[in-house]
Amino acid sequence: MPQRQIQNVPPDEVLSLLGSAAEGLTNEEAARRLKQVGPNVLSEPDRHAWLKALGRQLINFFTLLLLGAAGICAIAHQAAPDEGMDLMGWALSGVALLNALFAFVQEYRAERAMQALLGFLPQQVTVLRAGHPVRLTADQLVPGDVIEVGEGDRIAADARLLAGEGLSVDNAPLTGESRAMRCRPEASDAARTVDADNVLFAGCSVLRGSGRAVVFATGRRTEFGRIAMLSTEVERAPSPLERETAHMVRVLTAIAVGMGVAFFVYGLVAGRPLLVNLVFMMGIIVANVPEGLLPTFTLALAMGSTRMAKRQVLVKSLGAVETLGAVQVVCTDKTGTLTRNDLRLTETVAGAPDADGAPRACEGDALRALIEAAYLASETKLVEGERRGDPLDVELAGKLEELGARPEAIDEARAEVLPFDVNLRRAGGRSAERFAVKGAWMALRPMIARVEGEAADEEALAATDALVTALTRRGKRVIAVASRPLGPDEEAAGERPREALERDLDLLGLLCLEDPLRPQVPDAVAAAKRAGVEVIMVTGDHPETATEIARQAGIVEAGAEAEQVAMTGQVLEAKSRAELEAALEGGTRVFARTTPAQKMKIVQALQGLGKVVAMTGDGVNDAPALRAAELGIAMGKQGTDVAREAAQIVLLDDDFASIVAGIQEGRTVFANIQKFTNYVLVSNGPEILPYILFILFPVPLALTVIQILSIDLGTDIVPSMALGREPPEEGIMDLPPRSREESLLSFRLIAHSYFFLGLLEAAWSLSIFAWVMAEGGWRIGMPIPASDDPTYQAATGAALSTILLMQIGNLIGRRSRTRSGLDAGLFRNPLIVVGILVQIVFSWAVLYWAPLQTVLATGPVDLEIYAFAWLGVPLIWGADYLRKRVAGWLRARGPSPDAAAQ
Amino acid sequence: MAERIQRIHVADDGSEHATWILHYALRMARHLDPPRVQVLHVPNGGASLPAVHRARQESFAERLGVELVFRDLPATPDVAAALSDHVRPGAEDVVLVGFRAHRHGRGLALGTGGHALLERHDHAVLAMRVVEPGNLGLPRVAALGLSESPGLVERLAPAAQLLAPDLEELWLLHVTEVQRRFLGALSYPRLRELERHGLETLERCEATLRRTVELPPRVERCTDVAEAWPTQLVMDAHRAHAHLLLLGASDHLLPRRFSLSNPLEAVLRNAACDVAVFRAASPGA
Repeated sequence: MPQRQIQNVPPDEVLSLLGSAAEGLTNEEAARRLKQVGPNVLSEPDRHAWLKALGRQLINFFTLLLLGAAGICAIAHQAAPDEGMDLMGWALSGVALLNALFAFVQEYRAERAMQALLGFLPQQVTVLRAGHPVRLTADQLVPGDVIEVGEGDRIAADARLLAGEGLSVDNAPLTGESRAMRCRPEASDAARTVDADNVLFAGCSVLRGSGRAVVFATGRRTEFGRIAMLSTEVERAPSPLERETAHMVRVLTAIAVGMGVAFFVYGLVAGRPLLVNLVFMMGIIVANVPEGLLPTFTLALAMGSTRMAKRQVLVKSLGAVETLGAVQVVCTDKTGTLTRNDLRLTETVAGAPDADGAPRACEGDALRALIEAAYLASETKLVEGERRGDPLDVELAGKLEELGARPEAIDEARAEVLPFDVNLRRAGGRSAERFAVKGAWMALRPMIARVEGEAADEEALAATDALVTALTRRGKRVIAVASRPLGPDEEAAGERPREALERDLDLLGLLCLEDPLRPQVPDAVAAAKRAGVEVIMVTGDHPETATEIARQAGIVEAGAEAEQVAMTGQVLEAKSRAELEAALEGGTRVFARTTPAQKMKIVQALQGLGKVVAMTGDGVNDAPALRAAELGIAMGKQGTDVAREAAQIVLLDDDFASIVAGIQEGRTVFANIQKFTNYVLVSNGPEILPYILFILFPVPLALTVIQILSIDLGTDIVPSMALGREPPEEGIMDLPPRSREESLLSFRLIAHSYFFLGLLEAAWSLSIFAWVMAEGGWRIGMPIPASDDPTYQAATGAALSTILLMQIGNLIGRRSRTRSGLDAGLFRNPLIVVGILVQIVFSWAVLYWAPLQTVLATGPVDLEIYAFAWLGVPLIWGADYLRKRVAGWLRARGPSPDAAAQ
Repeated sequence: MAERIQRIHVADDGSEHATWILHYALRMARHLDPPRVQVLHVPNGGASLPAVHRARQESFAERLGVELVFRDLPATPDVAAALSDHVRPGAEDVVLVGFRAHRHGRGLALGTGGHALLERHDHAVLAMRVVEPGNLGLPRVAALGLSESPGLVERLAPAAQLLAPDLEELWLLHVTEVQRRFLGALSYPRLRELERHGLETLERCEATLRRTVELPPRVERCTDVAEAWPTQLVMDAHRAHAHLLLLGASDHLLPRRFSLSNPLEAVLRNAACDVAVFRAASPGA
């Protein structure tokens, strides 16, 4: 019983299967079907997509928290207009909107992706209706419609070919395969529709010839439509950084709200007025929540992506910058990524080896005959004096000219072209007198009757087998060339079935091509391996050729054999996931003769082993996998628009070395995020402690809410950004990839920020606060001074100024996990200098510049006190440097990981 | 364990979508004894099926060696009741019926005959949406969406029995749904633990299926943790290159009112392959 899909059905049955006829559908039947199945469109545009995207950002947890806090400030301002709560409310609202806007701009991509998709379908098509060809808009096509296609046409729907004349199509938008596919109407044996040569696919185009086909799938039911819709509508899983950021925000918010509510309740129980408790609760929450952190995150990622763009890596999703740094395995294409995609003819070899089995150079007349035959089986065009076509074909034309022959003569004599068939793995050409074919040796072998004019027996063919194997082991791509003269009855013009031509051929020789490795690839692979990143090659090429390239690139050891490290797509197909995982763990690093469809299986197996995988891809078929993978990398030059839209990273120069550069940048970004997170959290200590003391003891509040905001939303922003711009630390690529368990907000970081440096800043600033209060005559037990008391204002100003100055020492120390922070030179990152200047200027201005004094309710102090505040800089820097030295000493003595915290 | 299905019926409203579903019915019926499909024509506006439409269906059936029996049902607003009245109650009969092929601004399941029949328990129902008409009802690769729901795999077994003879590959899919706020905070050890649990579930399901269904040579398992199981499931089905995604119906799955967030609507809307939702007859029907 036939197991048949549309491609397996003979052409004479297809029409009745689809309820159609040779003259097409009637208009009434077409209208009926249009109503049932809908128009032939890929999408129904969502005009409100941008609004929904913005809305999503406005209702996320952090934004709602800030807006809620702003609301409370507005209420508090109504009750007590002189407390400045309105200013705080506006500031919090501004931060909330800023956060939402940043996230919206980065996340909203649907519009661009949709535009790319819509461009793939043609506007109009020629359809047979009741026997008459009519031009219709493509959206009116229905299953059963008979369409006519010609050279240059884009195909509007999936259709089964009924008749064709020299029809060749370019399926690259769907499959990424750049070779033309020759189409024929006969039933195909292909198990999958997408592999069939008798199906025309929507979104692809006709390169040559013409044909007539019956539509069987339209709109979102086409191969293109189903895949493209999936790649744009399915949400990507959150990246590791997004998870970490969300986790960190929740933890900090929980701490902030918990403390705030606790002190609110305590204040109520202690009998303080409701408004006062409300203000202090806001103060605790504001002090704990690092309002400037999320915009700084986004800015750091944006700066990282800008740096990566300079290294030819375009980041389309900001989180991908950091994910690249966590990558443990890179699955990379070969041609064009590891190699230059510049196939060169480097050697011409006779079809039979010498007596010792070694290759013999093809020379003289034999060489000319070889090149002429190879060119006959090729096709180029002269466009404005320049020869254009497949690079090999162009090279053959050049070689002919070197030999003193005229390619134009062969072009004129060529009566028929059989373009390269990716399944048959050969191309052919015919003149009036001769037929020639070139392609993979194993594809030609069954047709060979002679080798260099001598009758070929099995022994001779086996000798050529061995010769080809030896050449591929040397990394060459071997193209066999064979031809035969045509008999008198074959000389008539007109197409002949391929099978009739491809017989009794004489093997003339072998063309050896090399696609050289990109010169920077071996170093890039070595750097990746040092960084603990495995590289796996996935290619459609021969396993021997692929393994040789892998050896040259350093992906496998110099002496590795293909049997040990390579696996073909055929073997891969038969393996279960568990077996594939075992093979990967056993050292398989090269996947050859694979299709884009098999790539996903490799990635899934690697993910099953717990690896963070980056995958390269270029076809529409790759698009959903690129979007759903932890990191999809599309090719900028040879990739499709849909693949580029679906991926998070685009290699602008298609160069593997750029991926490794991107990994280094990604690691740097994560390290920098840790640095400025640590930096920002340190200032929480001196912000929170005054409130705790104020609630627990009869002491004045050392820092007001407005002053806290001036740090979190003001002076800390530039230094945070400066840390976000730190260049890669030495040795960052000598460390293994970040563990997936490594958290951004670890206990070590919290302890270091809150209980070490934060406590130190708090202690020093509060000491200076107390000193100023004491100088002004205030003692414990006396009434709490009013907020406009000059001594109180001077004291809070001094405390604030101290914190600002100590943040300079904190900033310098955060530049390095293990070193002083001064060794790298401050001017290596000019923004660090700017950050320091900002702190210095503000530390002075809060005390001595009237406008700022008014806004922040501060006052001047003696210069002696200001000088003491400056002592906080070496104090905090020195204490942290001492900690680093001790930690380093302990590390040198034994395993004592000094993890994320600095 | 549900009984083996012996008879196949197809609800046909004369549409192209119904024709695509008929292909499935004919493929499945080839393995029954006798190989027969009853086409229940549900009149659209009172008209019976055009002769050319019937002739076309008969030619499909003849190619596959399946007997086709036609029955015109009286026009009635309650299509599901009309269909059920003409099908023997019990587990041995299954009705293949379609969801909407095209949204027309509405949902794909809500208000369709498929939806209505799935809510009844008189007999087995396989409601489908076909987006790969070129497969002609021959899914060489199928995916089963499974969960910890007790008895789910046993309830899906009759449908699997019908599909299995033509399959070359079967994927068992499982998605653990975690809310985004927790997914963001999910530690990797916990993530791995959930994935491991999912795989164990799939191993048990496979063992249960093998007791009653002759599975194809290749059976693969895939488990994921995601914030929305419908979209993750369709993505996994695509990665598996499945031609058909088979789900088990439940009251939770079926939409009560139009909502894009309803899981079944989400699956039907996003799936890149044919989707079938199966409900076995309730015991004692």
